[in-house]
Amino acid sequence: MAKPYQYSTNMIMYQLELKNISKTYKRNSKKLLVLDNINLNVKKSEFVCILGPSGCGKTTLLRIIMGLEQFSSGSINLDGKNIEEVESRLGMVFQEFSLFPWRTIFENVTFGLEMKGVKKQEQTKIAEKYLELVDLSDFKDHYPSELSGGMKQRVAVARALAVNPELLLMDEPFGALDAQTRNTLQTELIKLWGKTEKTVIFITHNIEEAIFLAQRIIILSKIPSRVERIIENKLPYPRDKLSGDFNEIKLDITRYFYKLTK
Amino acid sequence: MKNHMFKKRIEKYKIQALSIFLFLFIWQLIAQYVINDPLLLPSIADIIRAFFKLSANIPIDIGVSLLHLSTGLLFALLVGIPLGALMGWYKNADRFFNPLIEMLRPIPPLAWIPFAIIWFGLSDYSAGFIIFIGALFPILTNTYTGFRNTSNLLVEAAKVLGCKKNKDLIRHVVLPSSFPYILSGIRISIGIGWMCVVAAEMFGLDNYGMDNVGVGNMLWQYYALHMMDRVALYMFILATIGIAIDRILKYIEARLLKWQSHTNIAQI
Repeated sequence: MAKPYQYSTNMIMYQLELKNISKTYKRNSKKLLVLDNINLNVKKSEFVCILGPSGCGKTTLLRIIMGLEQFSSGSINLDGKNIEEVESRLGMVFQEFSLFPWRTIFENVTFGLEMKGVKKQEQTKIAEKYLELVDLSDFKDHYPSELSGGMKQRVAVARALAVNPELLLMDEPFGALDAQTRNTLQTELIKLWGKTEKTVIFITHNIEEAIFLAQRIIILSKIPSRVERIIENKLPYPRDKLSGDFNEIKLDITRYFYKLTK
Repeated sequence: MKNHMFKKRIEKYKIQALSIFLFLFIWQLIAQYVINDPLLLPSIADIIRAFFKLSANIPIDIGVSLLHLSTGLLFALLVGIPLGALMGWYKNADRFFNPLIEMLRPIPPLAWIPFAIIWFGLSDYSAGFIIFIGALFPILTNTYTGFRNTSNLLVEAAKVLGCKKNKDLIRHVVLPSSFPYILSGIRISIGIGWMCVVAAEMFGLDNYGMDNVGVGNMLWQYYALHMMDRVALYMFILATIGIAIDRILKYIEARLLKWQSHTNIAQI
């Protein structure tokens, strides 16, 4: 006989569950509600985009999932277990270039492995595999300052994947790049996702990017952010930004966004 | 293109060499024909003559002075780097030590000479102490600034990759990212320490059992004898060694920091 609380076993099919996450900033005795009761469930190997206008709490939400920031109420479960601090099973790619400038590309990728105490030989094997995957093997002995912005972010992806996280969090990783590079990296990311079958939560304020990448698009409102709408995106991969179906969804979301931010 | 740049550099050095040559030439003329009194202004020729007379002693003088410098510097680094790191990482350590440092820093190293003599006697340690005082603050504040300026983003990136303990963060992120600050702190400290050598050796010291050695010491001794050509010679030695140390350290710095975007060894 199923007891009422056993419904939770049903929820374990979700890899990540956010329940009623709220976040209030206190500044000079004034309270600012940034995230208002966010609920979000993500399945294993799913690609989810969180889309919201600039200045909504997207990044805050991602930092909360990563454990880099505290939340005021609610709970986060990973594989059915509560998480509170920085969780090694999650990987993150930041919006700004975050490579360690004193380490070569290769040494950047092995950083997480060193921290885990992985043997040197094993480190080399893993790093070479992921550098191959992001097509940067030829640059492994270069320093980050010698690389272009797009290359830096590819290294950041390789560095995050090298520790084999169950879930990859990406905070507008292509936001600082030019349109051309951005397109290339989006295509590469989809390929990489196909190969590694990692769960990805990707943050963006770019509607086209969200439709190109995600299976599910979560639209957040302006501050205080709520989940306004969830869009299932069933377009087959690889997606064509010029196709009619693509642009239909784009038009729909653009209209919705316009109303939302007005 | 390369050839052109090479020529340009030669051109640049030509002007630099000309500047020094003209300076020495005019000095010689003024000393010889205008002032004509080796006490007031020894001529370049006098100084060169003094150099050849004393050339056997000069390496020992330099060696002894460098030993004094090393003593002071060693302690300055041993105190300055950990203390700067502590203050840079922990806000409360900063609050605690900052007033003390702000109070001690404006006191010129020379003002410490009486206490140095009382505490350490007329020994090599009192010279080391004066140099220590001069060298301490640059390395301290530079280490502090380096720690303070560590990018929060890099710290978070490291945390996300499993580097979570303070100890590990300092070792793997904060220290390497402060490295440029610490290195230039060391360079400035050595520069100031070298400037303190003259004052530190002002009084007769043990000089490691040897009498009458040390660049600063000899400068004062020859002053007492009013042999101003020799005083000027030792001033030249101070300048030369100072420049040499600075150049060598800049070179080492550039080699160690080749990961920095604008560090180019050719620029030195």
